[in-house]
Amino acid sequence: MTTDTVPADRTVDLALARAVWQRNRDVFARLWTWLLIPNVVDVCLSMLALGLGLGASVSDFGGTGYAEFIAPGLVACSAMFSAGFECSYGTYYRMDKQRTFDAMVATPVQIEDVVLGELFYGAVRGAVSATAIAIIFGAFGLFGSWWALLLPLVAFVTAFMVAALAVTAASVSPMLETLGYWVSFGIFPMYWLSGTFYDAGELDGTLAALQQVSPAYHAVTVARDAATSSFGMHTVANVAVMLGISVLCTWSAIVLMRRRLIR
Amino acid sequence: MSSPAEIVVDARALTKRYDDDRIAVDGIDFVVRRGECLGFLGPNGAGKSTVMRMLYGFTPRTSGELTVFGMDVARNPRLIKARLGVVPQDNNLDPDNTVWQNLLIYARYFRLPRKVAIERAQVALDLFALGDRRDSEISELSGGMKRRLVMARALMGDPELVLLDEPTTGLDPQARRVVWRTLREMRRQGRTLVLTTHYLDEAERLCDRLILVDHGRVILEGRPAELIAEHAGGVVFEADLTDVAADGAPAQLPAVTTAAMASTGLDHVYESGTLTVYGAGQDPAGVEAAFARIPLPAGTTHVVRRGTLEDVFLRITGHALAEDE
Ligand SMILES: Nc1ncnc2c1ncn2[C@@H]1O[C@H](COP(=O)(O)OP(=O)(O)OP(=O)(O)O)[C@@H](O)[C@H]1O
Ligand SMILES: [Mg+2]
Repeated sequence: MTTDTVPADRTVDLALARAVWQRNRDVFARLWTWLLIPNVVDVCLSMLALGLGLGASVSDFGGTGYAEFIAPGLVACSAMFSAGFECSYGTYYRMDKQRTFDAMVATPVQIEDVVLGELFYGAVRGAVSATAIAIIFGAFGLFGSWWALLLPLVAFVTAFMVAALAVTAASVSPMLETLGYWVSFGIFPMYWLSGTFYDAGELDGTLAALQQVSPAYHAVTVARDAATSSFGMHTVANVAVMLGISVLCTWSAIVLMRRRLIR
Repeated sequence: MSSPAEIVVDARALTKRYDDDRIAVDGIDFVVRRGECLGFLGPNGAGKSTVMRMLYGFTPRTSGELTVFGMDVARNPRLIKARLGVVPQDNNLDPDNTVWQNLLIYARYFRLPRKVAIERAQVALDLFALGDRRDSEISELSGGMKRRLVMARALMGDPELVLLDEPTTGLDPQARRVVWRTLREMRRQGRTLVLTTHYLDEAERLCDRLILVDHGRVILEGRPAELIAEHAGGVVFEADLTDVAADGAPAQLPAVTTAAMASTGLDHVYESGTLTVYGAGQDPAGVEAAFARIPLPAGTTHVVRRGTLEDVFLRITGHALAEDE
C-alpha cells in the first residue's frame, strides 16, 4: 500500500482554526498599540499630504473635496496593507523562522486549520487598523453617509482577500527576503491601481484592464459606495469578485502551504 | 516475559523517499507495545527523525504501512495526534509568548477546557523543575530549560504515547538526570515512550528495547543487556597505541597482533590508534587470559572493562559502513 491509496485527511476543523487565530490574537493583544500606531500614522500622513496638500489644488473632485474622495479608499487600503504584510512577512516568519506551524501540526491541528487561522487573523488585523482610521476620518467629517458604518465589514472582507493572496505568496517564497516581490509587484501596484486617488474612468487601455483585475480596486469601490451611499448592482458585483478571489486564494494558500510544509 | 501487550505502533515495510530521491527510511518493520520504552539509535542521517515525524503524520510515507493506536496515520491524523505527545529534535517553542502562555496556547490545540489546561500546565512545569520560570520569555531560558519546556508542553494533551527525538541532546549532566527522572515518571503513569538518542548510556538506562538503524534500515534490535552480551561480550579489551612511536599510532596493527587475534577467534576493531577486542562469542572464563596473550608493541597501555552499548554500536555500524564501501 502506498500513500496514493490512503487518502490523507484534508478536512478543516474550524474549532482548531480558531485556536490558531487565538494564538495570534493573544500576541496582538499584548502588542497592539505598537502594531497599530504605524498603520494609523502612515495613513494619516497620506491624508495630510494628499487630502490637504494636493487637495488644495484639486478643486471640486467628483462632486466632493479631494480629502472626502480619497478617505474611503485609504481605509480599504489600510486593511490591505496590514493584512498584506502580516500574512506575508508575519506568516513567513512564524512558519520558517519560529517554526510555530511545525509545533502546531504535532497536535490535532492540521495545516488546513493553520492556514485558515492565519487568514482570519489577517482579516481581523486589517479590520482593526482600518476601523481605527475610519474613526479618525469620520471624526473629521470625511464621510458623506452613515453607511460608512459598514466600512469595518468592508475592511474585514478586503483584509481576508489580501491575506489569502499574501499567504499564497508566503508559501511560494523561497526566502523571507523574496517577499519583497510580493510587496513591489503585489501590494503597491494594487494600491496605485485601486482607484483611491483618481476616478476609475481616468485610465484606459492596459492600465484600465489591470485595474479591473486588481483585487484592491473592487475593495476601494465598495468602500466608496458605502461612504457615499451609492450602492447599486455594481456593488454586488464587486463584493462577489472579492468573495471569489478570497475563496480561490484560500484554496491556493492551503494547497501550496501543504506542498511546502509536508515533505 | 509477560503476556504480549497491546500493539500501539505497527510499521511494516515503512519507506520514505524524499523529493530529491534520497531514501531516508528503507522498508523498516517494527512494533511498539503499550507501556514500553523503545529507543532508536543510529548515526547522523540514519533516518531516526524521519521515522519519528512519520509517526505523527508530519512526513507522509512513500510506501509501506503505518498504524498508530490501530489507525492509519495518513487517514486519521487528528485522532492519533490527540493521544500523542511530540518532542521534536529542534525546539520550536513560541518566542512571542511566555513559558506559561506557551503551555496554555498549546492546550487549546487539544481543545482542553481552560481549567484543565491550567492544572496540567502547573503539573508539567513542576515536573520539569520550571515552576519559577512561569513568566519568563522564551529568549530568557537556557538551552536545557527550553528542552525541558518542550517536554512539559508535550504532556499537555495527556498523551498515551510520547515521541522524543533526542530529548537530552545539549543538556548538562544534571539536566539530563532531571529528564531521565521525568521519563521514568511518565512510564509509571502508564505512557508508552519512543525516543531517539545518541547517548548510549541513556539508551541503556531508559529503554526496554533498542532498534539500531543505519541508512534507513534496521541493523539490530533487542534488549540492551542481550545486545551487549551477544555483540560485545561481558568484557572488552581496549589498548591505546597512540604513544608507541614518535610519529603516533601506526596506521595499521602490527601483523603479529592481527595474526594472534585471528588464531584465537577474537573479534576486534582498530581505529584512530585504539584497538578494541570483544569478548563476545568467547568462553567467558578464558577470555581475560586470551586478552592477556595479545602481542602488542612496547609503549601500549591497555584496560579490560565491561562491554557497553557503545561497543555494540561501534562494532555493528563499523561493519555496516565497511559493507557499504
Ligand atoms: N526534509 C527533508 N528533505 C530532504 N531530505 C531530508 C529531509 N529530512 C531529512 N532528509 C534526509 O533523510 C536522511 C535521514 O535524515 P534524518 O533527519 O531522519 O536522520 P537522523 O537519523 O534523525 O539524523 P540525526 O542523528 O543527525 O538527527 C538524511 O539523509 C537527510 O539528509
Ligand atoms: Mg534526527
